Amino acid sequence: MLSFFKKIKNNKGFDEAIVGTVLILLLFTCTAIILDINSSITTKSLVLSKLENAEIYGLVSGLDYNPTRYGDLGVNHVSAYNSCRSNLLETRSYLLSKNIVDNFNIVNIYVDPWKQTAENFADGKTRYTYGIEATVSFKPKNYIKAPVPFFKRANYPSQNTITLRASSRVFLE
Amino acid sequence: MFLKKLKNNKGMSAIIYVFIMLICIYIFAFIIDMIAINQTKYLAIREAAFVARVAGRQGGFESSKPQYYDNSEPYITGPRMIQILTKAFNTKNINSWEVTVNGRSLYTNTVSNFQNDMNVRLSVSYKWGFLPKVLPMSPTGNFSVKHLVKSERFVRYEQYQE
Repeated sequence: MLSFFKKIKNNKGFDEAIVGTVLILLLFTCTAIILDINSSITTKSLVLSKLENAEIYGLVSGLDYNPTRYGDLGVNHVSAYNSCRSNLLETRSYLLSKNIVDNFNIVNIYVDPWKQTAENFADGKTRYTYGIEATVSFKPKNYIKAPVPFFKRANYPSQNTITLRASSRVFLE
Repeated sequence: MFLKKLKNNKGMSAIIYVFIMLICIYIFAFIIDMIAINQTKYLAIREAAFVARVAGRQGGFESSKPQYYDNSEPYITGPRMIQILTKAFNTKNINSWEVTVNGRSLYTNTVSNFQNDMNVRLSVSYKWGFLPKVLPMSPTGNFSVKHLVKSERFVRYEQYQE
């Protein structure tokens, strides 16, 4: 490395142009990488919060409440699935319209009665918890498409699609 | 060595160095500002998720704990939630923010009955901190997070009829 710099230094005139160009390109590339990492982290936290919210929304809207059967509530799985999906579709259109993501796919939604977590209470009633699990994949928007001139974005790691899986549950009493 | 080089190049190197230094300062200020803005956004996302979850669990916000609310569960009133958010945003020097439930402030009664929809919206205004110090500009921005939540609370209307 040292010999390389020594060689450049000896070239009288040629060195400044090359070193300057390389430094500027390096600076732009580093800036682009920092910005893209930052936006990626923010987008990931935003999508995760939206995803968890959509799940709880779906789960609560799917609750089959009957006040006379205290402690014996159920979840309408079809309703929970549909509500979660429609809320995620709204999230998807919101993120795309705000130009936050390049794509957003709803991979899977699964409603699971976690009956293994049923608890028996002192009043003789058994309370269950129900869960819903959704998986989405998305690609955070890149601020800078091609940080180095003449090099396409494809030359940089492009597999930045993030898959998130979250699960929520509500305790029914 | 640096001064000798500048002297030998008859002024040209000085101009180049000044330009490079300026570009470096601009890029540095830009990166610092972008990181600060992203931290602001991250904080807003986190706090909006918290407000949405509490609003859903409690069925909105009231100025005091409702009479028939489960005593085993903590209740966060509207003014208390604003205090919590103020404390969180003050750590990042964010003074301009607004939170609404169904378009109404948390100082008002925003109660929704079981399975009713609530629109929780948190918007934060931010300013660029470093870049305006080196460039004659003062860019500002606004970031808002919206959550659609379902109320999980059964409202006993008899308490409002008393």
